[in-house]
Amino acid sequence: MIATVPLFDLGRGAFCDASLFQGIDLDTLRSIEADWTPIFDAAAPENQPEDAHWEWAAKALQALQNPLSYELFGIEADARTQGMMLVLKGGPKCFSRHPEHPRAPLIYVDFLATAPWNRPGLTATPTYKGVGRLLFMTAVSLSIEEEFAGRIGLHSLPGAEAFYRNRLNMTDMGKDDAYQNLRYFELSTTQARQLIAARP
Amino acid sequence: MKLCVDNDWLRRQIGNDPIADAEAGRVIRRSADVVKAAEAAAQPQAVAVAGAPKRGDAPLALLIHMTRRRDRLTIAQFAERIRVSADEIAAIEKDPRYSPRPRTIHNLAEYVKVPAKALLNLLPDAPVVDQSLDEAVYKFAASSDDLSGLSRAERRGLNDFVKFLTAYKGGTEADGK
Repeated sequence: MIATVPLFDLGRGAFCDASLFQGIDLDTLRSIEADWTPIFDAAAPENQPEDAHWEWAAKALQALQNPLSYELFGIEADARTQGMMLVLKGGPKCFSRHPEHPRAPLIYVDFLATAPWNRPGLTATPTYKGVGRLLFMTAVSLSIEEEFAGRIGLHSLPGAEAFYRNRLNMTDMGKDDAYQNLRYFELSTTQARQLIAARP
Repeated sequence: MKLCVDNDWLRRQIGNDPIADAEAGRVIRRSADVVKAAEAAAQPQAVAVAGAPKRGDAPLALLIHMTRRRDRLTIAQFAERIRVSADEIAAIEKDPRYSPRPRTIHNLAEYVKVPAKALLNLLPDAPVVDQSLDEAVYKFAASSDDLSGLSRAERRGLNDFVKFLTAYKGGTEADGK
């Protein structure tokens, strides 16, 4: 575990503690399958993965230990996975397109996913607020640790564009026809500095 | 890893954030999506640049190997010197398709004293956009032989290649677009 972090419990109207962890294990995968998937596709119990699936997953996880090129992070509260993020530390996506520093190295967010009960697009009464912010700041922290000065790149899903543009002040670089026409956003060195120094 | 902000900062920001979606990148709905994403991330990544030929040899690996030999450093010592993991240096030297992290390129460029931009053109994914660089790579590769220390000819080959990279003004399209 990296740290105990705050999540806002919208039902209680108060902050609670969550765990930010690095890496992934079978328990996390089971939590996603047991808690997330049924909400997404209303899978009946008989459609749940069988043992063979978990044997495959266990083997895959074993092969993916100590990755050089990426990191996985998760947030857990109430014994459930509240969100996950995979970031790339190297490869062709990890070079800036921002005019402030073309080609400078950055951390690329391969995916940032929150549990379905935390998504206002899926439920009228989300459970927690803050999962996306926590995971994003984790990516910024990794970027600083990797000596990338907080630079981040990501492709936002349409429902999240306002969050990245307005709340995190990322630069909207426009639609990327090489990535399903999703809009590509970057947090530049200057924007990262301003974000960390921000006072609400 | 340590977070760059404290929990007071997070509480203030989260308190002011709207209740909003924050999804980015590939869609994750089941455990298999996570594992597949990690597997894809672990693979060497190719850059799709239509019609561009790819570099066929491993000039970056050769540059590191020759530099190590010149300075009489083991992989572990060299990795420590440029502040990256020994596993990554070993991976670059052994796997011609391995695409190193930008930080590694940056630190290596600092050590060899060439612009990082020039080293980007030596990545396995980099399309060949400049014949002069390719010629320099082949000349460099031809000058080397895997002896324990650098011969005079090898040292001259390494010096010439580093000089070429230092002065290299060409670009690559391998920047993720």
